[in-house]
Amino acid sequence: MSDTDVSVQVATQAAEVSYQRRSPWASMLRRFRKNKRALVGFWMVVVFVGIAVFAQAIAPYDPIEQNMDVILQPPSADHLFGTDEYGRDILSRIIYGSQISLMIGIVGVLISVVIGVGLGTVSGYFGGRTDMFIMRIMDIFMAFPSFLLALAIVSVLGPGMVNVMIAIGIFSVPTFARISRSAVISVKNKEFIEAAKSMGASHARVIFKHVLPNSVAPIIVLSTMRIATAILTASGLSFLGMGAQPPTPEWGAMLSTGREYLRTAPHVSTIPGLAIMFMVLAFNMLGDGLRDALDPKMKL
Amino acid sequence: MNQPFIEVKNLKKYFPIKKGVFSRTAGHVKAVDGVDFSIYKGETLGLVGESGCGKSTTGRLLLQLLAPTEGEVRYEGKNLVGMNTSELRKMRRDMQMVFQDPYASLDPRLTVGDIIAEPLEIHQMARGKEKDRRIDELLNVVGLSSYHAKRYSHEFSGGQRQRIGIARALALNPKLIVADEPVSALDVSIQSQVINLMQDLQEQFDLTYLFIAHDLSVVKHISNRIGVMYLGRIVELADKRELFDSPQHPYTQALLSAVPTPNPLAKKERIVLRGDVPSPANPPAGCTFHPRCPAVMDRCKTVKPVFQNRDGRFVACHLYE
Amino acid sequence: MERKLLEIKGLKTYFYTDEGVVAAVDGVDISIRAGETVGIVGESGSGKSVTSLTAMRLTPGKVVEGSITFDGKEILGLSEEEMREIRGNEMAMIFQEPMTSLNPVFTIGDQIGEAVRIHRNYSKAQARARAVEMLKLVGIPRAEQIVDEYPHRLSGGMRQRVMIAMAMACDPKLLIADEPTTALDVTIQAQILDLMSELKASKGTAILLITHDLGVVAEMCDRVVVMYDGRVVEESDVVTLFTHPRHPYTQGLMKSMPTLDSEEKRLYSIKGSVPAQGSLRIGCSFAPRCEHAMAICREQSPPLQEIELGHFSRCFLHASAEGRTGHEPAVH
Repeated sequence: MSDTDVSVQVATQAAEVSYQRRSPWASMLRRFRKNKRALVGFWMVVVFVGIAVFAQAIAPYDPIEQNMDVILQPPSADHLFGTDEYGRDILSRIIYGSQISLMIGIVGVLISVVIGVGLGTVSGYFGGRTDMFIMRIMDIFMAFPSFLLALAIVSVLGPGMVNVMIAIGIFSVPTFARISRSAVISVKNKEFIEAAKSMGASHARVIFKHVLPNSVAPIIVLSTMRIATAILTASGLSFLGMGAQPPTPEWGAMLSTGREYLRTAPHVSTIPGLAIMFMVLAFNMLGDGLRDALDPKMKL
Repeated sequence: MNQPFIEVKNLKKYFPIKKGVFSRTAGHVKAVDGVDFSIYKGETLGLVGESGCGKSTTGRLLLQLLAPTEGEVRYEGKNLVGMNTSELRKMRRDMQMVFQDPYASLDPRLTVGDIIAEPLEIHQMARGKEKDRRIDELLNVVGLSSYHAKRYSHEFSGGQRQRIGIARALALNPKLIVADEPVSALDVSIQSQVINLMQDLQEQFDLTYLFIAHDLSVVKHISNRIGVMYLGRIVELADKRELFDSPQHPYTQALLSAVPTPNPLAKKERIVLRGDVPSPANPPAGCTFHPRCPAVMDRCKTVKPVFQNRDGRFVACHLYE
Repeated sequence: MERKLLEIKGLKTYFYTDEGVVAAVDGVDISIRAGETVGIVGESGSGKSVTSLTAMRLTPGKVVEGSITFDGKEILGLSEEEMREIRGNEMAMIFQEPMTSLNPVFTIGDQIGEAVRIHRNYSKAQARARAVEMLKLVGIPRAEQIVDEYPHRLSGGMRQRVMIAMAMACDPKLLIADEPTTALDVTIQAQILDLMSELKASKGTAILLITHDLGVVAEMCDRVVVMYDGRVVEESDVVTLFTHPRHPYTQGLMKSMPTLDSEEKRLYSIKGSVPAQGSLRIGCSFAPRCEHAMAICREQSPPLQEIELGHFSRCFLHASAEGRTGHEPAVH
C-alpha cells in the first residue's frame, strides 16, 4: 500500500496543534462570505446606507420643493422616477426617504435591544421570581398583535417620527427579551461560567465578560431582521397617517398619497412600495445570512 | 496526625424538586446527604463513585459554589458556610477548581492569555507588564509556550486545553485545588501527561488536592487517601493501599472487582452487582446500598449504618459494628 | 482456519469538508472470523468508529478505495436496498450513547420488534413476543411490562440492554459495538460486558468491539487491532498484544495507563498530542511522538509487517527482522 502519496492537508508537524488558527469572528466571516444570499443582502444594505448618507450629494432635486408645472409626470430623463401630485421629484424623495426609514429602523431596534436584552439577561441569569415577573409582563405585551400595539402607542403619544421610533422600540422589546433570555440560559450553565464564579467573579463581571459576549449571536441576527420589521411597521403607520407628517418624504406616506392617482399615475405609489420592499428584503437576507454564518442551528 | 487543612462535617445538599404552576416543592434530591471528611495539607484526597453519587456536588459545596443545605466546611479552622460575599471572595484565592470538560470550561470568546489573566483581574493581583509576565510564567509552568497566549482555546487539543485550565487555577497561587474529573475527557495517551503534570505541580507549589473521578485506577495512582461515595454518602474512606488491598465495604469490593484489568491472563472473580443505583430523590431506607448488597442483613433495611472510624479507616456498614 | 465473516481490505474513507479533505480511514485491513471477538483500540480521531460505520455502510464519508466482504459478498457494491437487507439482520450495531440511540416516541417493544417485522415479516403480535423474549434474554426484569413502556423510564444500563436486545433480535452473525460501555458506570459496565460474553457464547455471534479502554479489550477480545491516525499500527491475538506489544505506540499506551496493580510513582507518558484527524501524513504519523523515531520514519511510511505468525506491526524498527522469522526481543 502506498502511504506517502496522501498529502491531504497541509499542517506543520513542528507545531503541536493545528486545529483551526482563527478567532471565532474570523471563521464566522469566512462562512458569511461563502453565503451568496447573505452577500447580496449585505451589499444591498450597504447601497441603501450609502444613499442615505450621501442623499444631499446624489439627489437631483430638493425633496420638498414643489413644482406645479410638472405634476404627476411619468418617469423621464429629467425625473427618472417621475413626479408626484405637487411636482416633486420622486427619485429625490426616495433618496431622502431612505434616511428616514433607516433611522426609524435602526433607532427603533436600538431602543428595543437596550431594553429587551437588559430585561432578558436579568431574567435569564437570575431566574426565579425575577424571571417570572419580567416574562409575564412580556407575555402580556406579546398578547397584542404587534402592529396594533404600535398603533396604540402612537395614538397615545401622538403622531410623529420620534413617537413612531418609541412605539417600534417598545413593540420589539418582548421579542428581544425572550431571545436573549434563552441565549443567556443556555450560556449560564456552561462550565466556564462556573469557572469564573469559582475565581470570585462578581455577577456584573460574569454577565458582561462571559454571558453577553457568548449570547450576542442571536441578538445580532434578530436585530437585523427586526430592522426590516421596524421599517415595514413605520411605513404602515405613516400610511395610516400616524407616522411621518407631510411633507416629509417618508415611503409609507408617499405610498399612501399615491393611492389616489393609482389609475392615472401608478408610479407615484408603486415606486415607494418597491423601495420598501427592497429595503426589507435586504435586511432579511442579511439577517438570514448572519444566522447561517454565526450558528446554523440557531432557533430564529 | 496534625490539624486538618480542610474539615467537612455533616455536609448536606438537597435540591428541591419543583412541581406544578406555582413551583411547589414536591420533594428533594438528596445529592449529598451527610458527608464527613478531612483533607490534610499537601495530600491528595481522592473521591470516587459512580454518576449521581454526589462526588461533584461535594466538590462544589467545598468551594461554596453551591450553598450547603446543612453542615460545615472548615478551611484552616474557619467555617466557610455562611461567610459573606467579600470574605468568601478573599478565600477563593486559596481554593481553585479544575473542571472536567476542557471544551466547556474555557470561554470560547477569550484568548488563552485573557483566560489565564481572569483570576488576576478579578482579584486585582497584577496588571500591564506584570500581568503579561505572569501569564507567560504560568503557560511555561504547565508546559505550554508564551506565544500560545494570543490564540483562542478552540485552536488547542483537549490535553492542552486542560493545561490551560490548570494554568488558570494556578494563577492566584492557591493552596487547595478541587479537580473534578480532570482527565476523564482526555485520550489515554494524554491522561498520563496531565496526571504527571498535576503531580509535579503539587510538589512544586505545595498544593493540596481533592481529586474527584470515577476511574479507580487514576484515583489510585494520584491519591494518598480515597473516599468511596454511594448515593450521597461516603461509605468507606481509607489510605489508598489499605482500601485497594482490603476493601471493607461490600460496595467498595464490588466496585474494585468491576474494573476491567488490562491483563488478558488474569482470571479474577468479579462481583457483579444486580440492578441500578436507586434515585437520590427516593433513596432506600436504612443503608442505601442494601437493595444491591450481596451481604445484606435484616438490620440493613431499616437502620442507617454509622460512618465510623476503625483504626484510621472509616466504614459505614453494619458488618463491622 | 475458519472462514472470514467480515473482511475489510485496503479501506480508505475520506471526508470532504469545508476545511479540506480529511482522510479519516487511510488504508485499513481488518478481518473477523465467525464467532470471534475482535477489538479495535484507538484514541479520538484514530478512525476506529469510521471504520466500523463504513462496514455498515453508514458513514457520511466517502469510500475512496478498498473492499469490504461480508459473508462472501462484496458489500461496497450493494444497492442501498440490498444493504438494508443485511443491516439489522445479519449485521447489527450498538452505539455509545444509550440515552440518544433510542427513539423516545416509540415503546421499547416497538423498537425491538422493528427488526423482525422488517426482516422476517413477523406480525405485530409475533414481534411483541419476540421483543419480550429478547428482553428476558438480556436480563431485563418484568419484561412483560417493560415491553410496552417508553425509553425515558429506563436507566442508562437498562437502555444499553435494550439496545443489545434490538441488535440481537434477528440473531445477527456480526455485532458491531461502538464504545458500548463508555457512557456507563463501572458496575453497570461489568453487567453489560458479562451480558455480551454470555450472548456471544450462547449465540455464536461475532463481535467487533470498538473501544479506547484497554481493560475492556483484555477481558472481551480474542484478537486486537490497534489504530492510530487512520491506520492499523498493530494487530495480534490479545495475549500477545498485552504481553509482547511491539509497536512503540502500543507499548507507550500500555505503559501510560495507571492500573490497579501498578505501584509506579510516575506514569510513563507519550509526548505530544493526538494528531488532528486526517492531517498531513509524511512518513509514520506516530514519528513526532515516538521515542525511537529514526530519520527514515519522517520520510517514509512503514508497511504493516507480519513480524510473528499472526502478529502484525507497522514500524521500521522491525525492518531488520526480515518478515516473519523474527523472535527478537521486544523493543524497549
